Amino acid sequence: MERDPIALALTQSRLDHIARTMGQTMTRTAHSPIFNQSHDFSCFITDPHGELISQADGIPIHTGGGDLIVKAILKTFTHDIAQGDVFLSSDPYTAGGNHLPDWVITRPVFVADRCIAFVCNRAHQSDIGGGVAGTYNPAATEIFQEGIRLPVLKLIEKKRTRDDIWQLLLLNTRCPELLEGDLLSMLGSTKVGAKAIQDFAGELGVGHFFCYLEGILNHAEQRMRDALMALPDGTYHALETSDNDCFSETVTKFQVKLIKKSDWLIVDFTGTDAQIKGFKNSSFSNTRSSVYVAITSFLGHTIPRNAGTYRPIEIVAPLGSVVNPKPPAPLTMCTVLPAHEIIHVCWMALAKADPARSCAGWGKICHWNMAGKNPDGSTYVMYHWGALPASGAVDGRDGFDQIGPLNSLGNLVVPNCETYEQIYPVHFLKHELRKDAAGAGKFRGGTGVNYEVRVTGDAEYAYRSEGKRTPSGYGIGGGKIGAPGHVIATLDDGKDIETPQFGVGQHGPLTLKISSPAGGGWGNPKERSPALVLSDVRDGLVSIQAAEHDYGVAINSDGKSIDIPHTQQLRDQ
Amino acid sequence: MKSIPHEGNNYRLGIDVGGTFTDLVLVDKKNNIHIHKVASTPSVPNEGVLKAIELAAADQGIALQDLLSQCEMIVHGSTIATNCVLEGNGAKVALLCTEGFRDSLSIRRGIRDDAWAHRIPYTPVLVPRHLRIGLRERIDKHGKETTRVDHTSVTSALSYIKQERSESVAVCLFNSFINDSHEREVGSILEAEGVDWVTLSSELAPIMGEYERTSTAVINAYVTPRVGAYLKALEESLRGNGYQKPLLIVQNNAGVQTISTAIKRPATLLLSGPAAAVGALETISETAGRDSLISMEIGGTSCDVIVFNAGEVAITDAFSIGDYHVALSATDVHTVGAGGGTIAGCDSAGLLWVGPKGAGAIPGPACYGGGGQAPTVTDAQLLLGRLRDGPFSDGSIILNIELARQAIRSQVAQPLHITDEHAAAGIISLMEQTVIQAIEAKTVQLGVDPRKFTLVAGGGSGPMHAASVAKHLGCREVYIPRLAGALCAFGMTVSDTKHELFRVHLAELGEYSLKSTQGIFDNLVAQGEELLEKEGFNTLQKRLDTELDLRYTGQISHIRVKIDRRLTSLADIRRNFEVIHEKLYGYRHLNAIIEIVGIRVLAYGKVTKVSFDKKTRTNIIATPINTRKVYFFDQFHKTPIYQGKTLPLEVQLAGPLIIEEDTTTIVVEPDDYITVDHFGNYILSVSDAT
Repeated sequence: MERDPIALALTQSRLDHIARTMGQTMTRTAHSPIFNQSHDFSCFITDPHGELISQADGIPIHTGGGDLIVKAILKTFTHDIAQGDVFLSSDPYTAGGNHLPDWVITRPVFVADRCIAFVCNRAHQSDIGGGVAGTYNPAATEIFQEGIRLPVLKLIEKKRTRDDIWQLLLLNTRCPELLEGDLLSMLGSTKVGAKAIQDFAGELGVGHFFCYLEGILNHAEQRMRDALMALPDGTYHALETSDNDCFSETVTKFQVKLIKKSDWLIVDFTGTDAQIKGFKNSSFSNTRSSVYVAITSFLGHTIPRNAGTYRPIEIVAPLGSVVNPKPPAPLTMCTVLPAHEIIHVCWMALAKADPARSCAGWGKICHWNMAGKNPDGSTYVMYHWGALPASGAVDGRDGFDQIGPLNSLGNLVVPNCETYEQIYPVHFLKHELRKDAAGAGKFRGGTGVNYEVRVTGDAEYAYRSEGKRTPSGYGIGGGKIGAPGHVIATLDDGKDIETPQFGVGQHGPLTLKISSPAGGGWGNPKERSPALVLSDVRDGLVSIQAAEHDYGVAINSDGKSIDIPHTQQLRDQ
Repeated sequence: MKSIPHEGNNYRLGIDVGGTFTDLVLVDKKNNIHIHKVASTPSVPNEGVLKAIELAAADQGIALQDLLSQCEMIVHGSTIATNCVLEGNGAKVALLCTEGFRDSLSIRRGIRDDAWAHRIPYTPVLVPRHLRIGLRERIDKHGKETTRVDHTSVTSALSYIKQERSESVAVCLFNSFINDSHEREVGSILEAEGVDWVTLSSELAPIMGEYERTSTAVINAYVTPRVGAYLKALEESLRGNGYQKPLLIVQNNAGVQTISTAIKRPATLLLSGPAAAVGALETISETAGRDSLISMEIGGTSCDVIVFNAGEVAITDAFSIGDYHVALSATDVHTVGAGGGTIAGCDSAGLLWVGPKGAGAIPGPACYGGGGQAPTVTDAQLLLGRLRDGPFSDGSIILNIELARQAIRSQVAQPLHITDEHAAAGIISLMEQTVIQAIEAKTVQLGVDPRKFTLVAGGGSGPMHAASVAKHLGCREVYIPRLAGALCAFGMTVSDTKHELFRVHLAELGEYSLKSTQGIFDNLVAQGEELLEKEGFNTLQKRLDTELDLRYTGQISHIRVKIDRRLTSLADIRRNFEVIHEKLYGYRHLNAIIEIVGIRVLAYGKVTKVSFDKKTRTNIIATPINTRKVYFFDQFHKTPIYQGKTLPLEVQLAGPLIIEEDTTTIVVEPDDYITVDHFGNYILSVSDAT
């Protein structure tokens, strides 16, 4: 069948529209702040074989793994998928999941008796049992301590919700009300998506529908091949590290070798360290997503993102390594860490292939989570997202001073302090940018923030301070590294609590101060426009001393103007 | 004070100043409607307005002063506030906030439109950090003062602001949505110190969330001096020429306000232009006897979509303008980059794209001959014969079909290996798909079925796309007013006064909370009554609606639920909420707790409506002025061209055909029918949906 180029363009935009509509439905109906405030979910669509055809809605770290979920369903229920069925799954070792808290609702779409697509919603649940409230257990050494594992299961069978399973789910969470509301919302959004796909296939006819699905996959593949062709052929190595395994100060190496030839690319992690004791191992699904995030964000955001895009990319991830662990390694932290290291190491290697488009490093997270009891006895879980780090710079843009984590390219909404005061037992004292923390550069890194909050009640804390010891926002092309984070918790009696980078602890009322890690600079700081340096000085983000020392810009004693001859002198040195 | 409501036997003017054109609609003493379109004068906007009124007066055969002195109502809509933001030429603003919290404005909650586009920086922050000054004071989450306002910190901030010559000051203190006393205290110090323009966030937008409230207050402070100066100058020059009533202006919520009220809250004017379409929709609804309309107004650069559902227009609690967040209630106008000037092209792997970028007025579409090389939707329309080759509009532009063909051939048809016509039709389809998706996104959000709606086509280009868009949405008919090109200006002549009073009120919905809520309600109702009374509205002209913002505990979006002014039945309130929730989101959560988050009173002062004037045209036969070849469904058809003003009333014609009106062009596809009603407006009946 010959494809009309006009109909092809219409197909791509129609599918993306459907995925976004599902996302909007979810945002407006979900109960947990994690969804309705921070959009930690993704809606996607696959063809009947599980190949991803649209993921216009959602966060980048969910990009690469959707197909594995549907393929696991197809494998488990081959001849037992009927109209009115809805599936639920999460397990990274058996069900194609990325990590346990991300539950995926998958609804097959039928026209007549034929399954023509799957519409899915992957969403991070508030609590799934396990060792610590809130899904993150930094003390875990096995996946069993991280919460309930869901194999591929039928949540709804021929339009009848399986009440036994529903009850099983609600029994295994500390927040049954939230979980129930959120599951309803996930089901609602896939229902909306399924109807829209049916209508679309009805208009085109099923034969044409499939033909155009293949067409958009081929198109995306061609776009990726074009982008790869434009990179110089070669082998590019890079190394990134983490400074702990959640239990001790030990270095974990992430080693990558990119082999780029003509219009294909091999991403080889051979040489990367073995899986670690703590929960920062990356499931294969997550490793693949991280690689895809790194490559597409580097090569250009206009390349469509579906299964076709990634056909020219091959990933080698040795089994038993930290990027493809064997069970029962714990791995809940993986969507953030080591997603961060994997994206960094790929960016570093790509920078060698194309320095002009290089990206400086983003600060690694160092904020904690906490959980406690509401006055009515129910459990709350709060993420201290107000202490999110900063991003690195690129050519033409300074780093974002505070932004969501790198795994989502910042696509996580920072909550309002006022809103969190209304929901949680906290009183905020500060949420402001840091001074002299950003990595200097022609374009400087983001500053990071100083975050101070008083927690007024007892709570259980999950420490997650990856970014507090070693600076993480690397500079590039002559740019400097961003400052590391600091975390101090002070009890009401004035005593500071000694805390490790990762771990779990119970504490009474305390004041938590976090300085979040800053981003790296891009290019030589001495080439930064003196006017921009001056405005950073005026804005209190760069001190007069640092302006002179790091940027070679002399500021007059009024603090408002540039000493031009002295600056000339400093910059000529 | 001279009263707003009019007696209904004098002139009425609606003046819509856009970036390119100023549209004026004059309703004369016999209720006849006259349209005038003149070029806008962006450097001195009030001159353009006077010029348009002069033209209208000359057309009536009277002097400007005579027209203005007999004018009972002038309603203005203006993009001045919007342009001020988009062009970045607003005031130098200082922000006073709570110590420790001065950066929410620049952190922007980390929200970017497209996460993947990480190389693109934010639009510039409107207040640089050194002008964002923290004050020592604090209100806690319950509204209790924990630190008093430290006056020395206010005084020193003030002296810095003066030294830096900030013209306008925004004040947004932590938790002021729950207790505004500190903001008022700081406001009165600023006033005493002679600061001209002060915006208090709790007065403008008392909502929870420091980022959104700050952003809104700052936008307001940013546009206040410019907008204020313009509106004052305009009112003075109208008064100088004999106009005696207060000048009115359309707000974001489609209601009108006096200039003196609007000047204090110019952020309420950011959607002043497009929101006025609501008035026109109300009139169309009455005239056509249809209460479910979707309007699609397509101009040169964009398409504005408004859904008018069961006699009401959806209201949104927030919108953004040039990527700046504004948390003010507004008519839910969904704007997408799809217009006549929208540019098309192909990517490296052979996929057609259309928009969102446009060719603007300069250079304009390729066929204008202004040097534009990129093919646009207008070029496609010309190539397919829907527009006429040669002089266009008032003759100042000459359309050149060969230039259109060249652009489409070289940049779309050849790379895709298809014919020029197929390429042109493809450009139009893809642009229309953008419009269709914009409408679908809105209807999904509102939980309504577009198939039950009549599409209203407005703007210079809307009636060219109407048939096709209607078919894809499943709408069976399209209403095309003959003044489609000046829909908003007409809307202004029939817009009601509207005051919106709002209080944040956090409480679990229950018998006990209803009692405390009732008190606040009564207070707001009394305030609304008083405002309308001051403006001269009598009991018959007044209408007060009461609403609660409700949600399930844990949700972040609330739903506005209309309720009875006397809060007597808890069960009714719960049921009303759940019915809407289920309609919007597909489920209700039985037994879940419902929270009250806000209380609203909407106070309307109704004006006497203008109905479309009935036309009398008899004994004429519909005769085409000529025919030309027009492309529909993969081939050219010999198609008659009619002139709108020569068509007899209540005639029905079968497509394919084209009707040329003064301000728009109507395309009727094969198998569709168009009827002229007895007001001279058009009803297009489309064949089965595709």
